[in-house]
Amino acid sequence: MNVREYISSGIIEACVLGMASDRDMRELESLCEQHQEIKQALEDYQKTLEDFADRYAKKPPEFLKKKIQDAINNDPTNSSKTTIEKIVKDNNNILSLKYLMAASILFLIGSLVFNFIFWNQTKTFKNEIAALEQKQQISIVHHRNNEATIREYKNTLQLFLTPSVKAIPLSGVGNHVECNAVVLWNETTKQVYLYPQNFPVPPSGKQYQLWAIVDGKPVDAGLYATSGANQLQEMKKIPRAQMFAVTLEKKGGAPSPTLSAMYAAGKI
Amino acid sequence: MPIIDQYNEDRLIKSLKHKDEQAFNYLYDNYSAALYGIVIKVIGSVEEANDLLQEIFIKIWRNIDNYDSKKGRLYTWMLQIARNTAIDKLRSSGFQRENSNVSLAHNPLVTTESSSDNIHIDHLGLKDIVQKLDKNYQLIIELAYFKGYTQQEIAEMLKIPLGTVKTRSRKALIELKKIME
Repeated sequence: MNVREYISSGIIEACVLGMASDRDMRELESLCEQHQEIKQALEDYQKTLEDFADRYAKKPPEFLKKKIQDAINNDPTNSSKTTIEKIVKDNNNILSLKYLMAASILFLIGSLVFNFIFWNQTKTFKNEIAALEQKQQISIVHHRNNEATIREYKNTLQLFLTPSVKAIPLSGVGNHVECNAVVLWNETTKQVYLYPQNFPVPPSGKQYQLWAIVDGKPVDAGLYATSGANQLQEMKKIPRAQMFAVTLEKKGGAPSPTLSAMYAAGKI
Repeated sequence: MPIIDQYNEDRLIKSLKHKDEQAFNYLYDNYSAALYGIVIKVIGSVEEANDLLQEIFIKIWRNIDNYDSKKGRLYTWMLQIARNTAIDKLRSSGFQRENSNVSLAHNPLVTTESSSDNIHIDHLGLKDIVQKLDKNYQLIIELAYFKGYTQQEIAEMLKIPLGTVKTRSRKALIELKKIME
């Protein structure tokens, strides 16, 4: 289809002027959809003619406006349309109400779900907090223990550095060569301290006992507390001695040392 | 045509489709003069024109849902309704009988001139346009557009070939466009 030819055929003008047949008009309409050029030509001519027609404009008589308005309002086709419109509007309102309800219910369910999720989370958090608190307690205990240990070492150190304190090493004997110890003897105050190293925990019912050998005779210098493991411990005061020894006795101690159960000994 | 930009036209169409009362007011205030003018030009009688204008507005109101903005501007659509309504009345048997003394084919130019005092004040008045436009072209426009004759009828009336009617109507619009620019 030759667009140029169609445009110069005058058929568009005929349509615009209202002279063309219905068939021609319909053909033009469909051609306008396909060819922008044809559509443009049609619009141009329409505009020209309309502008011309506008020159004939005349104001209608005043009374006519209201008359026409009333006619429109009272038009039966018009009111039925508005009734239908009203019904559709009402239906829409009911529909929107239903949607509103549905939406509200969904929101409610949604919020319940969220509540449950959050409650669960809160429980988990609480558990975690409890666990953390427990850990913290353990830490505190460890810390305290550490502090105690540090204090002990400090005290021990002090003792070692005190001029009037003599350190007497005791070597492990017999089967217990690894069981060394140090006796700290304050020559001024006569206080005696036992500091065992690598001593095994005594079996139940048994206890370590310190002896001071004075003029060939053993003197009880005190029992080492079972709870203390390889820690410095104050023993009985000993005014004079030539040797110290540690034996394993029954709990509560013995009046004289069991020589076969000697663990460590050392001369002053 | 009143200057209505596309945005306002869209809003007007929308409110018309909703049958807003405001839309009617706007429509009437802005378009009634143009539509009334056409009707008067076509039908001649003021009495008839009043009734026709009412009919036209009712038609517009009833059929606004059928208006498709893709097919053209609102004003074009309304003007077509106005013209068709007036022409239908003009060519109806009742009207023909009542107004047999109105010689349609003979004095279109007289009609044109007598309407010149109705003009919409513009930089190029109707009178000017009509004076500048070739008589033959004027006639074609008058007979086709304002009186609703078909190409065949015009050819017979003016005793010219159908082809000439076609070429003349084309030239008429081209010429009219030139004058009005």
